[in-house]
Amino acid sequence: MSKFEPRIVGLMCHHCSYAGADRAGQSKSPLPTGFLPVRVMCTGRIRPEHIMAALQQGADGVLVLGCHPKDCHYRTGNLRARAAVGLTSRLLEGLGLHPERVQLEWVSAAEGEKLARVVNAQARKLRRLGPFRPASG
Amino acid sequence: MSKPRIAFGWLASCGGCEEAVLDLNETLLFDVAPQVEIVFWPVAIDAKLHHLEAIEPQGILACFLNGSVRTREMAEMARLLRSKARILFAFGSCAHLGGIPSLANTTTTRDLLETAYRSAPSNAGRNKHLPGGAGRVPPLTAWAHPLKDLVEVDYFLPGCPPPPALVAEAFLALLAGKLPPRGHVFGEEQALCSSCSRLPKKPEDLTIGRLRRVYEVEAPADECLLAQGLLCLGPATRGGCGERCLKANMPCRGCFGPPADVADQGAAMLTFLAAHAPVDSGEQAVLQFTESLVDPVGTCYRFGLSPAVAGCYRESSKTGRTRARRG
Amino acid sequence: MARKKKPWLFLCRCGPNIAEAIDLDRVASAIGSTMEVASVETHDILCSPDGQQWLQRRLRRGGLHPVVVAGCSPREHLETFRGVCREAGRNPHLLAMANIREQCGWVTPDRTAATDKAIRLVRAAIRRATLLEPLEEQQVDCNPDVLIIGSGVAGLQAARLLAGAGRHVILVERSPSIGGRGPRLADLYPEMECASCVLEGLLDEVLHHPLVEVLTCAELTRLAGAHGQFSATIRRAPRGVDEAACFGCPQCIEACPVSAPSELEEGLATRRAIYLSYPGALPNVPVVDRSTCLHFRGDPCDACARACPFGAIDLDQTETFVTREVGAVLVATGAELADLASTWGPDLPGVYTTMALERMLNSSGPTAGKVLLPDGRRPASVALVHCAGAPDGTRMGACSVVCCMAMAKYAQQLAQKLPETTIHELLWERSTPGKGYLEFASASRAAAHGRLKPIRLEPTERVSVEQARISQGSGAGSRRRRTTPNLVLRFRSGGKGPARRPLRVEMVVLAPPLSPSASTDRLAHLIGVEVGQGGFVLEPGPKVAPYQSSVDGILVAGCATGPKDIRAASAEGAAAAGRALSSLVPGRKLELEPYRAAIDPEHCSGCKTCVVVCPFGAVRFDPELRVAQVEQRLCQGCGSCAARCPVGVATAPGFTDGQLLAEIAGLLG
Repeated sequence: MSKFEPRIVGLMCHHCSYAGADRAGQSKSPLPTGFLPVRVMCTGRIRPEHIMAALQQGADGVLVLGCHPKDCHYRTGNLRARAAVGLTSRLLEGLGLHPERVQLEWVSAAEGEKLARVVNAQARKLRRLGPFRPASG
Repeated sequence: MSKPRIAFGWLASCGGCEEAVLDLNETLLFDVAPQVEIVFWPVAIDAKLHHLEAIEPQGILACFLNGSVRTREMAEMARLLRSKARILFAFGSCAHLGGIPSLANTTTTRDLLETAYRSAPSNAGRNKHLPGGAGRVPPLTAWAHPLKDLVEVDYFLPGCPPPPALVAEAFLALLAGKLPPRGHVFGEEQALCSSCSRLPKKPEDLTIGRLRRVYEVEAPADECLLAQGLLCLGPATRGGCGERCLKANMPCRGCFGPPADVADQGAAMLTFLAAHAPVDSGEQAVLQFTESLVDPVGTCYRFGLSPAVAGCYRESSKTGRTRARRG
Repeated sequence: MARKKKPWLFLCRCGPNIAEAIDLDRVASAIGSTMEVASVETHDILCSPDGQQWLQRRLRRGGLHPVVVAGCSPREHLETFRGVCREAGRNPHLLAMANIREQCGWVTPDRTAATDKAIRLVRAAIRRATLLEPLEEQQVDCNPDVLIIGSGVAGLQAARLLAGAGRHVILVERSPSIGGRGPRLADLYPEMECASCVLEGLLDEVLHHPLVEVLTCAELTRLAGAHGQFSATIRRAPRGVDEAACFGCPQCIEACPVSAPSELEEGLATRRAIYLSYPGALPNVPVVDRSTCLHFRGDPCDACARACPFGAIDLDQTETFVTREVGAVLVATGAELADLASTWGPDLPGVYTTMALERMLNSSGPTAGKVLLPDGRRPASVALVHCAGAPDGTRMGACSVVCCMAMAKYAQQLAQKLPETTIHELLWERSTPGKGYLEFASASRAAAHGRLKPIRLEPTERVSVEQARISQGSGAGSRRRRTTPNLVLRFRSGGKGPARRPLRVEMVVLAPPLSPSASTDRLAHLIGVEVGQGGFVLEPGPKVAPYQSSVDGILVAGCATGPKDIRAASAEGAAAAGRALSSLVPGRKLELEPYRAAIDPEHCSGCKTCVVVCPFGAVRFDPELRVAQVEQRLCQGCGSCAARCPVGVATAPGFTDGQLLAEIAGLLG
């Protein structure tokens, strides 16, 4: 039986977390094969629909990775992402989604190691939870 | 020349939409009723099902159908009325979006019945049994549906219930033969803020520390309710209702559904709420703000939790089964 | 709508870097067979000069096909390939990159898995690229002018240098007079030159420079935009006097019937309700204090207006707002002495702060340069207490830099002016870094000729001051003693043995710590700069960019970032000016953000959510049309408005919802 490799859509900001992910790459830190990066300029760009679409189209989890508070290149985008992701995950949990599938973490451009750690931890969690296969409407 | 025939039907509904028709008052008496022949209206006239079945297909000009589809019988009724009517109006939130009955889509019908008939507190004693059996109560459909999930709908009259002015507009357009293109949702295209009289005073730096309940705030009659921390869903709700709730100093609850071209009203609500998070006060403050939205599902999908949305996130491991209590 | 063109895909082997980790042939054939691309080509090293030439030749084929480059991170070479597009005469924004190196090949050890992932990433980039639109690249002149908030030494220095280089300077000062604390001091260490003499030239030059607009009684209320193009709104409180008409004669002041304690004379003198901050304050125009003026407290008094020979008094003046466009903002709001009332108790007669002593020592101050007790006598003994910051007189842990040198200066000056007075100096530590400072401090003490008695306190010792009980007695001598403020300094040992014996003195001078000026917190909040330790403005790069706040385009100088003396503040003001001169060059163009947002006015509901959320104040609400509009010059392309618009009418070009959703679908499909 083939091992379940969770698909994680990673929404990352150009200035911090995406750079952190590049840094992890430069260090050749292995990342789960199911980690699928998406680059935005700022995590503040993220809407609930993006997270919902990812889950509806086959993602087993969504990771939003932004700059640490106070470091956002656009001042407040990351904290608004925190608000949007917080509200969205509460809504989706109310509809039956396991609360650990949608996560938000802060990763700076220098934190390649942290990025690898966070992504690998999320993959381990999702392997335990199993694939996201909702009842269809 | 015979008068055009119209029909009214109700599925899973509260009766408010029937009242809305009556609220047309003189318009109903003088402008509508004399022009038409009402062939079916369960709440008001004595036509039976077999009278309806006897009408030739497309023999009714228009049917105004309210309520969501919750039982198999309702599904049949919806199909029947669709076949008999040339024009079908989804009347009110339940028919338009699924309505409050569709909040049942957060759970399974099995759980619904178990909770309602077995595990919820009651004084029924040992007489706890599920309804059912042929000829008794029609079985529930797996999900509660808006009308368009089952049949082709021509027009939508939003609102819980639709305001009399909007209903009159639809009736009069129908009778004059001047209906808009098929698929039209009556009301405004834009969100409620667009026509709200309080908009000029809506602050441009609106931050909410925590969302407040209506009883906590004495809101001024002419200021934006969001600015008072009240959960007014105007920005994500189609306008055209005449701001009835706002005129009573109550925040909008979103009964008209999303504005034009917005697929998911709940997502629209969450995204604009995130704009008002207290980002200047740090991460903890932002988290407290998100926690202050007490019931996300009930708030975001109060007037229609479609099966499409409800089914998307329900993981099999999460469908809790209530244990049947004996005795 | 024009049918979307299929993208041209270019795969880069990146030498062995990608080729070894990923089977690019399989990627090429997998993508080719999706029929979603017009062509697939592979190159060894696309970013090399050869590679770029090769790419450019291919892009010259023309047409609006978007370009997808699968290779390294866009953070490495997106700009490079944009340049190639420009060279080839194509829009540089019809370009997307798939990062199959840093975020695929290099993090996926298994080649098969890496190739599978690369196919997903490339497919996602293609779906996204298919929806890209050509974006207009626009340049505008950057604004070379500067807004300076705070007219202390740092702000003045910067103003002088900037104006000298031909820049317009708007100098915003909260109080009615410019100069900050400097001009109120007596003599400046270590040269012991008179403060007003040293600073007079600077003040004068700035006040009268044709390129400097001085706005007093003013504060910033709004700052929109970003580096190179800020729009500042400034509120001017009503002075009550027409600055243009006033000739600086004191008739109005002399006519005023009200008397109140003078804040800037540290309570040592009184002022009228219409007053000049201190003798020599600039601009030489009085101000009406509405909290004490009778006219604003129900009385129809207009004595000042009647006394003015030039009709310059205007008690009906109201606040005004002005807007100025600048390229940079300098925060030079300074620091102020902390209020000691809560830690040292209510004002006791004979207890003064360092600033009050400066006013006494100042020859044009309230005591004409003499050091006197409230009853007019010279004190027989003075205690100078360092580090008077915390309860019980212990050090707060944050050094205010200037006080030790100031106390050394006072030791010298008091010894000179009061030849019979004993001077006790209470200190825990001495801190006198700086060129010539240690020598100055030593020399000052030596100059006191044995009348200076230093008391070195233990780290755990605490000091407090109280009024002594006046001894009963009879006769003239005892009467005099009863009117003499007699102060007692009490010591607590903090557990290390018995307490030192109390010290009885006639005058105490406390050195309060410097804390950020009252307006700093509000201002920082308003313009979005971070504050750090102690509430002072933070310099994220204090070694290499000490003039830079946490916000690009907003500079800092002087005590706004932390206590420092005049020499250092002056240097920082110059540094900030240097930075502004080098980053805002007239004629040098500023690229407008190509990702600037747009709002469809036809469908906008006017809910103002985008206005609320824009971090740069770049979205304005039009109250007539009841719709929102993006100010193109100010937009920084973050996409916040597009994210939060509930009806989806704000678009973020380059990162539209359609493009992001297509990318997500491409990753997962």
